Amino acid sequence: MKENDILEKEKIILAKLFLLPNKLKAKSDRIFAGEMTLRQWLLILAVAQYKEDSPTLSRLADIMGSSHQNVKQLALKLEKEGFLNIRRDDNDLRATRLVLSEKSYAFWKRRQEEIRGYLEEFFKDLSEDEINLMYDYIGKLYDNVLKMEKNYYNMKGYF
Amino acid sequence: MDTLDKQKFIFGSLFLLANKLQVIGDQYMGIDGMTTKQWFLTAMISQFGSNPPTLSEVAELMGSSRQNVKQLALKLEEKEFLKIEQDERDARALRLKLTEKSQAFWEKREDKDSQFIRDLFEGFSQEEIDLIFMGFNKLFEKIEKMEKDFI
Repeated sequence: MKENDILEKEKIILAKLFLLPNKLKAKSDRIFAGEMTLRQWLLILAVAQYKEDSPTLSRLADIMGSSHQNVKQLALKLEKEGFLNIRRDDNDLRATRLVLSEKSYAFWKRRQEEIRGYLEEFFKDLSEDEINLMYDYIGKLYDNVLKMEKNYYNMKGYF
Repeated sequence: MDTLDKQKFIFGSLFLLANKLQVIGDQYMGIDGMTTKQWFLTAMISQFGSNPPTLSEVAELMGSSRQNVKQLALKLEEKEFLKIEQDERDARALRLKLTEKSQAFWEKREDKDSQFIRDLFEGFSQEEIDLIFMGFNKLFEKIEKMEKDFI
């Protein structure tokens, strides 16, 4: 039955959504070895998305699906290494903002080639069209996940 | 946005989505005392069909350490969803066997779990599902190949 086929594929996609990052973790650390871990890099990547404003810790925790605590730990480590500056928000004393340092930009430049090479290898078997489509679809998946978050958080009240 | 940026986005999103889904999954299954990680281990063991895998085999498939897999396996064993047995031929190898209790548990949840999947893939056409499916398979095979090359 066609419907079942689709459901089976969707189950496998869900499993791969866990499997892929799991497998990537250990190998990816090698790329950033010595300077930072993959998780730290992901935080820097997230902060780098905000060109003008500096994102708050809370916002980043939200995007990354990590706890405020975890992101704070990552940020503190990165600040210690000189990759980040942690600032108090001017308007909201409780909000903490993260700003990339010069060292971060230098890091990007330096590792850019390596990271580019690594990603190119990883995506080698996908055509440019397929990458473009994946980009769209992952964005769509992300939207669905955000919707589910709202629904399931609301469910909490029931139990 | 150029290709490299899209690649970075896809790459990063794999981690972010997994994180978020784990949190949602934990809440969703927590009612029945199940966690996303335990579900994941169950699903991975199921991949081996009627040939119960060893702890090492599952760890390798998952890309997790034996340590971590053992912790999860023990939790499932506590619930009587899994039997951890010494391999007949190799005393050092541990085989993981899902129990009927596990099967019954997941069968009971089937409708609920299908709904979860439907929510996740809402608004996707079959073509789009096929593309993601194929895309993820290619990426997975690539990782396995890259792992071999590193060694």
